[in-house]
Amino acid sequence: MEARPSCRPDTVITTVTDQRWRQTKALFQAALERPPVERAAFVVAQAGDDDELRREVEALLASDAADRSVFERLPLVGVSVIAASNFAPDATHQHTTLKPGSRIGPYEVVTLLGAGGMGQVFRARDTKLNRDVALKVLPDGFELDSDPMARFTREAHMLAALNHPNIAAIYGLEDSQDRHALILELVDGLTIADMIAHGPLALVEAVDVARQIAEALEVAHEKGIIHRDLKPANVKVTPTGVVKVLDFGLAKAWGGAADSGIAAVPTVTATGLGERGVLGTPAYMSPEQARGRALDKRTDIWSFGCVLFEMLTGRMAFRGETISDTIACVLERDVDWAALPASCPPRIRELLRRCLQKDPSRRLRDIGDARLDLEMLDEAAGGPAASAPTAITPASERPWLPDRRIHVRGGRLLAAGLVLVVSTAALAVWVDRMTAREASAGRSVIRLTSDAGLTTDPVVSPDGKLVVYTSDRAGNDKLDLWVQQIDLKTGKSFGVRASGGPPEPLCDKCGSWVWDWSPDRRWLLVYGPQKPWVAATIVDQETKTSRLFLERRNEDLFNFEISPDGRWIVFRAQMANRSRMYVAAFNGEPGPAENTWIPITDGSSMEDKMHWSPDGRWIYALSNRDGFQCIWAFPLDEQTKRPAGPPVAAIHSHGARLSIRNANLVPQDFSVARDKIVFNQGEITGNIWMTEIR
Amino acid sequence: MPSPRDVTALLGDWSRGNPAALNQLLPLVYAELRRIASRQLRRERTGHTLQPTALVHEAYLRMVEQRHVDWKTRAHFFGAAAEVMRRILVDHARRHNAGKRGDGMPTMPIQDVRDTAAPDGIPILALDLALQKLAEFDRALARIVELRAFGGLTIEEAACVLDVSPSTAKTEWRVAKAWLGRELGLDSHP
Repeated sequence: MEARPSCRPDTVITTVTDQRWRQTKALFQAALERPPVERAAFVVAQAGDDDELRREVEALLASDAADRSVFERLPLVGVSVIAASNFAPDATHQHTTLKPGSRIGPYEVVTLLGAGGMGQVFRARDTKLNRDVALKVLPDGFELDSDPMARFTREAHMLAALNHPNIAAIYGLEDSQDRHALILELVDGLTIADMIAHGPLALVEAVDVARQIAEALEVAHEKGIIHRDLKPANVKVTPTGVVKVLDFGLAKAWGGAADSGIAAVPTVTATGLGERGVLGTPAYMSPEQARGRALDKRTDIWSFGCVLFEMLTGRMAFRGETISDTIACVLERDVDWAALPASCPPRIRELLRRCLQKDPSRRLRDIGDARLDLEMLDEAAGGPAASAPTAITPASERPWLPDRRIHVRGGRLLAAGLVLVVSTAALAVWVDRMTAREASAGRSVIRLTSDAGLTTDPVVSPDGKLVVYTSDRAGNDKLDLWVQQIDLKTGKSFGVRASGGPPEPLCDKCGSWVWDWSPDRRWLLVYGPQKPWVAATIVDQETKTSRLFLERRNEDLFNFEISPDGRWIVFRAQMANRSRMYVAAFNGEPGPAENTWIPITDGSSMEDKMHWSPDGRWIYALSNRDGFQCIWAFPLDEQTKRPAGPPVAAIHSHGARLSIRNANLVPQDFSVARDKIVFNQGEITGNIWMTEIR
Repeated sequence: MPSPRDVTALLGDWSRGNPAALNQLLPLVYAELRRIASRQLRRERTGHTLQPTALVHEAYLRMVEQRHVDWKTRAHFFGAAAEVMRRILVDHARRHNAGKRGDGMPTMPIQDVRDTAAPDGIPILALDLALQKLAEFDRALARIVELRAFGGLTIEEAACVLDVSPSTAKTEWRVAKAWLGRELGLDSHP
């Protein structure tokens, strides 16, 4: 049970004077310097007959002795665990040389994360800066004054200068007695290898990850640093979707005298089996690397191609049963181009072809070119389309305008009087090419916007042709409403700004958060915190009166939505972390009795943001029912609205649930209409995505 | 938005001892944090947890030229941001509280506040009240909590901002924890 502080600001302490506090604090601190067993007697002796002082200090000591770790967790700094997937965690042939609690310089070992050809890796606490780091302890044989050590030190210092969000940082090198360790940034998240283990990535994900890898490589290459060991196990995606390339340049630093060749690839050594066995690293080696020739940045471009190919297909570009077979593949065979998904745009095929040229002189010369290609793919969809307005059309002349409800980040705008400012259309090349293809594949996810800032809260029009959302893409720090057309046949898609007239309050006294109209527009259902619990109010548009609609004592009722036929409502009741979703009959009259509520979920999962399907036979909801937040569809019986089967995940990508793969694509808000779901991902920055429904 | 170079330069000036730089810096930090926080806070989402320091980090990443800052500069940025963050969160929690009751008077017990912003179960408003009280007789102690809780600073960084030795900061932090633990009544619910 979580500790809930009880707060009694008006009962606790009498007025504390500065003087009094100084006395108390001094005695408290003095007592802390004594061994715990002596403290009580010490305080009694020091306080003399000042009972109040004694009591105060004793109270502080008692508080000090209690578990105060809650305060240590207040700064929720987001460093956590490096997954040791690029090492073999069960590499028992290497005995643990550092026990938890032992130290190297200011670093206190917490736990072993993994071991590999590069030595062992520990999670460690930096006691100086009070942060956790990854500690790579160099294998035996690195003597401080030796040539390899000197070279390693030089390399490490150079690598420490690499500072880029997509590169896991190297903080420095620590020498302590006979041990040498590299201090690295701890990175949380899954490696690309982990992700690929579940199958290929969705095209958009692969493009996004590849773009960030290319950015990291570009920055390093500009500084003359080559990775030399780029592979899926060396690339992580943090829970916020940031790609981190690990172990930059370490292959060389660890590589001994050889500046090239297999010797420079540490994970090939017998002790360092990559997580995919001995095939781990040679599969990503460039032909020149496999031949032991001199290397330049083009070796990374090859490996980049291998990684991108594997993300798209779920299969290694080159693989064999043994190391030598794999190397033979790298040197002689072409990749299996047919393995690429049909939806893979020609631009990506071309990029892969140029990266995977066996002759380095014919290979893509600069990873920056790859980045540009990927960015164009990434940005073409939707695009920041704020240019000069060319037409103003009243909303009333636009029957397809989604007038049902428009959310403006916590505010409420009546859509009446909404004016469209149509900007010049930015034709989205990517959507043009990809939409049709992806749509035909069915239930893939495509990206509708590509903004650097926040684009969120999408609402799709009932006919599925328009999506309204808020975005700060205009660059004035304001979240404006935008309307974007979705037309799968022509592939045209453009965002236009929707500037509303003055907002009208819908219901003054409802304390409302969110509302929903009945289809006939007579009833307005509002829910909000107007009581100690969240309850629903109904507003009758004919009589302009409002009444309490539904409440349940000490439980919050949320997410009311009226079914498309106007005869049902869906909502959920929540108390603490337990939430159940219900359907109940609706006729505008307050309060369907609790015994008529039809439970849709059993409280073992949390749902949010429920929406009816247009035919009223499904309810779509955000749910964490398998531990990940995703959109699920709950089937209902057509007549009774009772559950008609188990819910199914509504967002798929190549047959796998999307949000498992990429934390960045966890849906936050969504909207359903006709044949599609439109959702947004990201709280602080993010974009709008779309998927087809059954 | 100011360029990262400007912010970095201002931070540099400030950490080198030019107090005027802070006056220029704070409004920038404030504007950026507000912008990020309001997006986050206005969502009113149930089950939504806000991590104050995550916002500060986000602001930092956006505002500062990453390649040219050392950890002292970072500490100073976070130190400034901590104060701003506290204000934003407290304002939000208060508004939330008021909106829930329909009037502005704090009649509800603080632990009942639907305080989505509270990390680990310590409501922001309760923490803020306690800190206000603490600041009345020990400003430095309140400040170190602010830096740690709202800015995500380490002891070392907090010491740097407060211009005291790390060991002093460590002792102060221990005292602050003991006092707050008692003030917030954390022991009555182990």
